[in-house]
Amino acid sequence: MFEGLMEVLPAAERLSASTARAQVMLDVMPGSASWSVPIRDASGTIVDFVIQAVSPEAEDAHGRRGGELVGLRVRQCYPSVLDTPLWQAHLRVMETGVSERPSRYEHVEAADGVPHRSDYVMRLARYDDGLLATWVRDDSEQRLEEENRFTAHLQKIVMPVQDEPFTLPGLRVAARYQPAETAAYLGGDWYQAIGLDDGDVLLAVGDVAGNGVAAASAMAKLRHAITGLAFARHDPAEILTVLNRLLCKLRPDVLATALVACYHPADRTLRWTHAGHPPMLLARGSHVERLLHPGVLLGVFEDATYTCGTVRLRPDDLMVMFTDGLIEKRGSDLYEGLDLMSAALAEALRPIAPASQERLSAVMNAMVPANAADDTCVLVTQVTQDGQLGPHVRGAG
Amino acid sequence: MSDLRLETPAALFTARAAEGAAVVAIRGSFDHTVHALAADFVDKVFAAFGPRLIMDLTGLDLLDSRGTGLIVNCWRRALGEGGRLALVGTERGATRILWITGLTTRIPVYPTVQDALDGLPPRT
Repeated sequence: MFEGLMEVLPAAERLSASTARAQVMLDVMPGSASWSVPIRDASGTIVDFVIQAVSPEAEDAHGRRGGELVGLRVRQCYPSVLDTPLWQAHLRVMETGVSERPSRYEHVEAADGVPHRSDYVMRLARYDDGLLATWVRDDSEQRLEEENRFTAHLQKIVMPVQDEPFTLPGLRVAARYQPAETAAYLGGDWYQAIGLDDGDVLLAVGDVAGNGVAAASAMAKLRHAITGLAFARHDPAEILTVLNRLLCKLRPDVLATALVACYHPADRTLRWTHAGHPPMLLARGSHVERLLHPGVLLGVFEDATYTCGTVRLRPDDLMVMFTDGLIEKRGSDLYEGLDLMSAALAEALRPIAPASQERLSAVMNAMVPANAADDTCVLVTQVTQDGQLGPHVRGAG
Repeated sequence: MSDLRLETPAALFTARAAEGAAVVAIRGSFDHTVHALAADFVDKVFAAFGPRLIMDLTGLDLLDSRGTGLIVNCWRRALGEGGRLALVGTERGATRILWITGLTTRIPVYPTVQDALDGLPPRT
């Protein structure tokens, strides 16, 4: 009664000799290659293949490599193969012995419910009563990986991050750029902290919606435009008003958020505005508050205008600027995230004396991404004591 | 016009006709992971229902910058095709970002779908 279900493998002895011959050949083959033997039902029809030997570099659609593939059954491991032209080609090659190069095979599997595609170019040949297969992955994912590597490289060129804190007129500065754990988000976040030739300091962070090279290149343009406009003595509100028009005109496909601030060390005033971006936090002692002066995000409304808020800072004040990966969390409100961050900063600062330089690193350490899937930028500045002002202070007024 | 539906483990998109407009409801995560599928879905909505849209975001637990970008594109497209787009959401939870980004200063937002339908100008 089990006749119909019986599966027949080639005689064990013959199989091990064939496997050894195939392995010798595969051992010297570059790339992905395997030799498998058919499993037949009682009537002799091929129902599956079992992989007997593989090349050292072989890798399948699931990321299994080399020896991990030995013993796997093709249909069990790749159920979506059944009834595809590729499967038909497997059977035909075993039947006729004529080698084939099936047309490009698109392997689709649901990973986390999202269809996951990989394209393969395969070659099939009958060898010693088994099937010799070689395959090359040529898919968008691979191209995406390459693009991600390129984007990461581009990001470093466009925005080299200084690991150690540095000083600007009237300020100590620490910054961090943390790429996303999953590369899908790479490329959108940026910061800028630079002394202007009139003695003021430009501080800014921003985020470009999107990823990859397109986002990185838009990020580079925005960052350079903001810097250029700041050198042309525009205040933060004028900078963002112009930038919004520029973005609407040149890159209508790009949405961006930014926080731009200009610090005037001579009287310790900070002028700032933020376009669609979470507000910066001001930490004074162990008290942390939001500096809110919001405007609409960039690149959507051509006639948008912005205004500046102004605040007089005190020595040792900390300004904390960041991108939304630090407070964005599933099922939670951005402002709840902001409150959590404020509380964490207050906690981290409480034990440290107000004038201590350790406050800067304490804040950096307390700024932990809420969402590791997003890239994040943090820019923290501490107002230095009077008398520590740099040489480029311009006269008041 | 038959209803449209797209379901992934992370998000559920539905669209139905109501009072001369399409009501598009998005539940779950509207983020980069569903962005491409969502863009296709939106194309189908425009093709099936035209450019008068209500987008109900009250069932979202995550709305990121890519999702926000798609909403902006829908709004532009609806206006460009002579229609309207209104949102349904509140100034807390995932939809808080609509206020932080300032989009609510230009794109109408209502607390309920019915309010949004009532707020649509009559078809000309």
